[in-house]
Amino acid sequence: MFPKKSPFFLLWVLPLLVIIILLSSSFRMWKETQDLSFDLLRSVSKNYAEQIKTRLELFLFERRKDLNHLASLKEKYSLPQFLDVFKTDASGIVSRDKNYLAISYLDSSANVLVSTDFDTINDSISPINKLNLDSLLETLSADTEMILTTVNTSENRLLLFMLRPVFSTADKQNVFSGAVIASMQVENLLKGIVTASIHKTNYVQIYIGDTLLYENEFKQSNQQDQFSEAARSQVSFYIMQRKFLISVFPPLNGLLDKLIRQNNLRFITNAIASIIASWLLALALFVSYRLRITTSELARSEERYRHLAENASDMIIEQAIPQGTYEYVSPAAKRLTGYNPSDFYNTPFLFEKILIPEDQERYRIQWQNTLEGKTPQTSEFSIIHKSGEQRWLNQRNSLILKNGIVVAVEGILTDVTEQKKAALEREMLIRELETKNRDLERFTYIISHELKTPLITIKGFLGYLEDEAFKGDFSGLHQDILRILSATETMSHLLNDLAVLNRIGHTATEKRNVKIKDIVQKCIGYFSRQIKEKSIRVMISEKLPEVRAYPGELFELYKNLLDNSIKFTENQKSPVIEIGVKQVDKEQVLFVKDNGRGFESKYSDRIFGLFNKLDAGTTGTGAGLAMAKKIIEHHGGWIRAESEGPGKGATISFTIPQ
Amino acid sequence: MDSVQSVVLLVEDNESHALLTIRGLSQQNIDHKIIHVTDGQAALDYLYRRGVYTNRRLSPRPDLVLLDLRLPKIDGLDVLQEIKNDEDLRSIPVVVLTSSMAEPDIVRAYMYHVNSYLVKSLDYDEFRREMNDVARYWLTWNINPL
Repeated sequence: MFPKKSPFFLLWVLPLLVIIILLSSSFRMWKETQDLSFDLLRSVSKNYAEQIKTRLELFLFERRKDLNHLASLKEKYSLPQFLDVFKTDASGIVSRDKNYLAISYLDSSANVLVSTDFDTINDSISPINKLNLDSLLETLSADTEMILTTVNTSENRLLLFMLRPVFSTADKQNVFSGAVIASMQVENLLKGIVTASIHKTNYVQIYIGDTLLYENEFKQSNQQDQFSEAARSQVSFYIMQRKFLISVFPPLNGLLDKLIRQNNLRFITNAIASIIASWLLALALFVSYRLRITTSELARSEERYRHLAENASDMIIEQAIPQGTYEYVSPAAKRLTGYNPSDFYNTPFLFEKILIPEDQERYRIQWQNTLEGKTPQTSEFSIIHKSGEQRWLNQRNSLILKNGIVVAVEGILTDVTEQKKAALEREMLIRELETKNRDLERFTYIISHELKTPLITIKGFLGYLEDEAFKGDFSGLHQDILRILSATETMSHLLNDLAVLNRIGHTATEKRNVKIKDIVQKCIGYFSRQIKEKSIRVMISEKLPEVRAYPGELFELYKNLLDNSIKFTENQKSPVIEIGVKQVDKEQVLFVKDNGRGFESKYSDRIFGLFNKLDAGTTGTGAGLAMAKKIIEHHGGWIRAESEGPGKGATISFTIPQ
Repeated sequence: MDSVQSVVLLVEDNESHALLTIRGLSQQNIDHKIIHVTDGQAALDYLYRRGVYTNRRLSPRPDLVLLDLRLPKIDGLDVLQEIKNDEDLRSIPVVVLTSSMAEPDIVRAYMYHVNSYLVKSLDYDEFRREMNDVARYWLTWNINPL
């Protein structure tokens, strides 16, 4: 059995887990990409910062070379000579290098002794003098160098001063001969450096100490402020005892923005995809679970159905509509019809072909109705089994629909031959019983009537006798008594015949092989006197067969027939009785023929009626032929009386089936 | 006026019975003639005046038919039916005189419009009385169409 709890677990937790895993990895990827982007940008900007730094260092190094050269002049020359040479060389440098505004030589009090262009920067030097030179004096050594910045408020320019002491005494008290300074317009200076190094779209800030020397001006959008800290690259370094700081901000209006957007997009896409994926997973799990259940259920029910169909004693047929081909025929077909399922598959409408002819029309009509969707629920047909036997089949039908259209009809057939045969036999027995009942009633009626008749005679004539005796008239006495006697004789004959009749069919003896010739001879013996007296010629055929019959009854039969023939040939001139046998349509027909009185052919059936006499004048009870009929019927044969007419003799024919 | 002799056609196969009946009828002082036939075919032949009965004088139309039921050749009830089906013969009164008390016979007889159904009495005296009454009733009281 498929466990009930685990699918629930799988169906819900598994996809949820998948979502969590996918989303978290997506998030991590996003973050990584985000960081990578910043790292990328930072390294890019660092490169740029390094570039700028290098260029700045290089530039300042070049300037220092000039200043060193100028400082070295003091060693060579005495002061007055030094001042002149200094002036010339300094002017030469300024004019050569447009970055200088001025190069000045100061005394220890920071008074300008020589300057290339003193006037323009004079005011700016003075405020810084005391402050910076003091500090310079404090730390003074031959190698001390300094860079200062100051803002010239009147012109609003940023100037960069580079200090280079010329010489110093060991005794710092006395001092200081002078510092060489160079002032440069920072902005123009650095602009050139910056633009030469990097793409213009980067944003650059250069600080010396806390003073901003340079920054490019370009509009930044607000959102980039949040990135500014992360993406900015800072390079700080010392030149001439001053800290330089270069900050480079990458082009936020482009690369980073694009990267960030891409990353976000990727993250969202991943998130959605993972949700969908997990949903699909859940669906797939669910469907496969349902499918598995259904398939197993289906397999089970298919198995059950197959088992049923294969092993049912009833035969199952499925026919396609409208083609009539057999879609399925169960193995039981072999038992019910004698034909294999393969025979059915190969032969459309095989069933119709094996029906008995009388049922074929009905079957065709039923098929037509089925095509119209009106198949009867139950129907019964009779077929000829392959073995040759007739079988009866009861069929229950149901229509198979697909999308509301009838596509096939399924029938379940049961062999009802036994029941049918039983039913038929029952019907036959009932009919037989009814006939026998009727016969019995008639018989009883006839008997009572027949017995009553002589009784009336007896009583009647006794009455007359009494009257006549009373009157003393004895003339009719003899006649009356004769009549009475005759009536009693009649009654006695009647009762005798009844007894014989009754015994027919209830013999204690068995059937035996009897030679008819022997029987006939015995009868002839019985009637020998009458035959002789009436000169009847009796012809007995040599071909009289031997039959299997009740010997006593057969004797009774021939006795009655002979009796009749003798009686009815009474007035013939040359009476002839023929006892023989003839072949009629493969049947052996025995007969007794006479040339006596005969009878009208319309009475040929009545003649067999019990106590029916065609002629009131004849002797006998009229039971002879009735008895013969009963005997023949007991043997299973038939008996017939024929005559060409009154005076043309009569023939009684009969058969004794073997 | 000529005395009209009543003619009775007695259809009875049993000779003794016929004798008893004839004797019984004769004891009334009624002038009548009894014609006795012994089977149904003869009865019809007589009534239709065929066969041996073609002579009108010798075979007068009966005023009464006394009919036994169990007859050779043609059964009494069939004879009755034929008489009553025939336009000409149906006006002849037919009285069944039989020993049969069987209900089906009685029913059938009346179905065929028998005029009367009588059962032969076993008792001699009763039978005689019965015959007297028959003669008196049917030959004296009863009026036939001309």
